[in-house]
Amino acid sequence: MNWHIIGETVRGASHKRSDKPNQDAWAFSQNDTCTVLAVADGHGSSKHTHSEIGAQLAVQVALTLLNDFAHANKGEDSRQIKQAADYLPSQIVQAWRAAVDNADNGETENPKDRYSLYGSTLIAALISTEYVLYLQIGDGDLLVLTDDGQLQHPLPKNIGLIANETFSLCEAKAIYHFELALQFFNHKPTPALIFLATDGYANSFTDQTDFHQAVEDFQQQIVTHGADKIQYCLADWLDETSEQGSGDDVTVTMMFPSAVQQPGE
Amino acid sequence: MTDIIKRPGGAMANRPLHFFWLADCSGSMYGEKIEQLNYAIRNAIKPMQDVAADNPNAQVMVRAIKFSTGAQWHIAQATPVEDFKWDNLTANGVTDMGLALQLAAEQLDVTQMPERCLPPVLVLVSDGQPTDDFNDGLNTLMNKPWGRKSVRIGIGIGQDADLEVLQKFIGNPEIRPLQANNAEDLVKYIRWASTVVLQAASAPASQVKDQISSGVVPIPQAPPASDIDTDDVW
Repeated sequence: MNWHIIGETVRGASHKRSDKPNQDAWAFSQNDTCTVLAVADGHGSSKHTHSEIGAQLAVQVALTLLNDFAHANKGEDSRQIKQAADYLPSQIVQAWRAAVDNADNGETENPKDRYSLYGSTLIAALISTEYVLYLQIGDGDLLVLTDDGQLQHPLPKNIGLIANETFSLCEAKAIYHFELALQFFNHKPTPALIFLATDGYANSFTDQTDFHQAVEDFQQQIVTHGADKIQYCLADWLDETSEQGSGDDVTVTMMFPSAVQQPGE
Repeated sequence: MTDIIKRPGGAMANRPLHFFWLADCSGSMYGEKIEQLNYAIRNAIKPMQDVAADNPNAQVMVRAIKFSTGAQWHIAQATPVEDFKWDNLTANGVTDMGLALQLAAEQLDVTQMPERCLPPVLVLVSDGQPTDDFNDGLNTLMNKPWGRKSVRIGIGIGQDADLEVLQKFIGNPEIRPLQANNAEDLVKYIRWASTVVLQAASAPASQVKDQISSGVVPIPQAPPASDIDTDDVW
């Protein structure tokens, strides 16, 4: 099955007022073996002054490692794939730290301080012909809409993360704060839509119901109007969302079967 | 590309920020202290509203608790800051500070305050020592998720204020209680809490959970105490 991806990131209304950059990032990759989609949210406080770079590095690391993972485990049985997936959090943290070391270029001597400067969350989804893999560290949302219209959270919610607290790639014990789920299509149907967003999006809605409505609306509008048109509208919608809602940077991305991307098909 | 497509999702809203005054109205506050506290809070309303207006992504809601013999709501309804008015407090009775914390704690549950809220701000103002079980009240407060994540500021009025208790309330060694020994300092500290602290809490950047040493919201330095004649000291 081929997958189509749309997505956009906008600088938050409060970041515009305070002259801060957009500290979110998103990226995707596609090839014959898999499709990978990732979003990241740099932390932004005074301890994390390079977090917009940290977020970019996080999504690039996720694309590389998940793509490698899919290729390395192509044709393997589900047990082998599950075992290999257990190593992903530590591989991602190590690769992110190496990327930060490289980006920092010796500017910050203490490694703890260095990683903190680039602190970021990460959410990623990898889909192949046999399985889908979801992973997340820190805040933000990953939702899946099934063919029969059910909205699912494939990853457990982080208990105890309220207010502006988040887990992060920069933590010493980052690997323990990853959530990971692997679903094989011989047990579960393929998703109708996989939705990834930074927390600035959900925080802009009055409540969870209004946020969930957005995911369902996106899917419906893609079917009705086509993916290109929704992509065209996305930046304006997200600007409006940040202005009327959280004020935070907002990133929304989603993937869905290519068959539904053309209107009326 | 000419069709207008409805933005996906339901209603959007800015994020609520709940601000609580906890005011000591015990007998020792009688006279100039309570008058100056009333003046200081009333004087801070406009600057507080200005700060809130500068950040349309936060909806500041104000409430107030008064405590003396028992604790009651002075402003029970969460009031949008633009409608916030201050009725004078009067002073009489003992210092049931623990009960005031329990009363605040009732509102700091996630059932009352959803997760999308900004960290609440609690400003405790007192001139003395608790006469009830302060620790019990503090434990109740800290057992609530939003109690633990709240920004807590303590202002002592006069030299008899129990700064140790205020420090326990703040629960963060990097933020010290403020001691207002005269009317001028009280006005200054109340205004600082109403504006600088509010501003910090209304647009907080993400904090890494395992690296939080100074609270979920970094609080800027408070203004220094003024040099003033000892005759004017409370």
